[in-house]
Amino acid sequence: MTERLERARRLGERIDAGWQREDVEAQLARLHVRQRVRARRRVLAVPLAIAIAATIGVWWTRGSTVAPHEVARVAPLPVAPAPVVAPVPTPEPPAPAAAVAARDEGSAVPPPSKDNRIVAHHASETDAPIAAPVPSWRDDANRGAYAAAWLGLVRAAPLDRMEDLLLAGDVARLSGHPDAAVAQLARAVERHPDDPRAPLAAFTLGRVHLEDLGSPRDAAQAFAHARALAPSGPLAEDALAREVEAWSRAGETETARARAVTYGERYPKGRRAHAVRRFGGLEVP
Amino acid sequence: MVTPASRHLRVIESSTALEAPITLDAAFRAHAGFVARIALRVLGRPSEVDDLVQDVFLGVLPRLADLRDPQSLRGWLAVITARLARKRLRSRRWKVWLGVGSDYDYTQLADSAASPEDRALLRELYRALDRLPVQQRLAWTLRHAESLELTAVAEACDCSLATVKRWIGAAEAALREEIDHD
Repeated sequence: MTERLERARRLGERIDAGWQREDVEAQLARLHVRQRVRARRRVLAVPLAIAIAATIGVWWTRGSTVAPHEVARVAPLPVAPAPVVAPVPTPEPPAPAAAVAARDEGSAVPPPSKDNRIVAHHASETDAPIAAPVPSWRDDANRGAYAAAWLGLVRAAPLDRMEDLLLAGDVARLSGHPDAAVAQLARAVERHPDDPRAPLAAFTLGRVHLEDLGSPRDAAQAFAHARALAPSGPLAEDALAREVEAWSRAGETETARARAVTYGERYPKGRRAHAVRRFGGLEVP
Repeated sequence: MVTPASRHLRVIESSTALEAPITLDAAFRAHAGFVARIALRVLGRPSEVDDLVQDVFLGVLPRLADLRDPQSLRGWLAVITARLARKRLRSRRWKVWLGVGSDYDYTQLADSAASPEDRALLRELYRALDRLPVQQRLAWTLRHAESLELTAVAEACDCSLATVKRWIGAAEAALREEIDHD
């Protein structure tokens, strides 16, 4: 390898995502949300597959007289009553009964009918729209399309569940709307203070205030709240360290120093000890 | 079909060190940073790293309870990360071909201590990597930026040791051509 390429390679070796514990916790919370969404989809997949198969079956039995786009509106499964037979042209048993039975048993493709009129009549009695899966802002968010998710989110009804509020906070933050992120995260902390994810919401709120909105005083209060919600939780150390930084940036040097001393006492070998001493004014430059 | 990944899994499962099953949270806390680092070095774009890390852990989740040897998890995660990164690189290639791919400023990859020359060189390296075939890029990055052993690179790339050596050699020749214009 030549010298220049070797230098480039060494630079490549120095690349690091630099994830801190807080990043890992935030990503872990997002992972849990995605995991639940996947589980819900898996539960819905079976009835959806049956519905699609039954719809295809209905379309097949109706024959070519019905256009496919009409078939999409036929209710697939809850078909119990026997068809009201009008003119049955042949004495043999009506094929639609087999079709209906097949559908009741969940058969994928019922046999084609010889009498399309009966099936068409029957289907027309049970016409009902199938709820088509509409991609929600959550789906967009879970596949990382935050701009699209934001457009859906602003039209969504007010949220209340913790996972929704956290996800909405992410969407707002990552689509460049930190004010809206503050609203969602503050609501999450306020509505669900006992939820194990409340400290994460408060911590993220502090980060948005500090990094996106340049409001160090609000950030310090949010970090303090995160700590108060879980004094010995996994985010407590980081929250205290960020609180020192926020007070320092807000010009509250005495408070920053006091918190820095607290950090030194609680976490004498803390990972952020150096930064805390610097922001707390405990270190001579 | 016995794939390198399934071989890898069997080794993990047959481990005699029977410990408590590894939970998703524990695995994520222990290895998410490592996965993110590999993802960033291979993809070169921080904006794609979060999603890839999530995909990796969602992908391993169904088999996680079967693992007994925590030491094996790291290697397995590296393999899965490399394979998912390869998918993304291929999709990026398609987007470029279709004219919807965007150019990326790789100077952001360098750390804050890097000099402007280093930033420019790193950008040049990743632009050159963008022009390489995906398999060659993956093999070279895993070997030279991530310092994986050749056998691990071969496993991650789903190919033989000889093939991976050939890919790394070809990538290196192309990179030398692109970068050593001084």
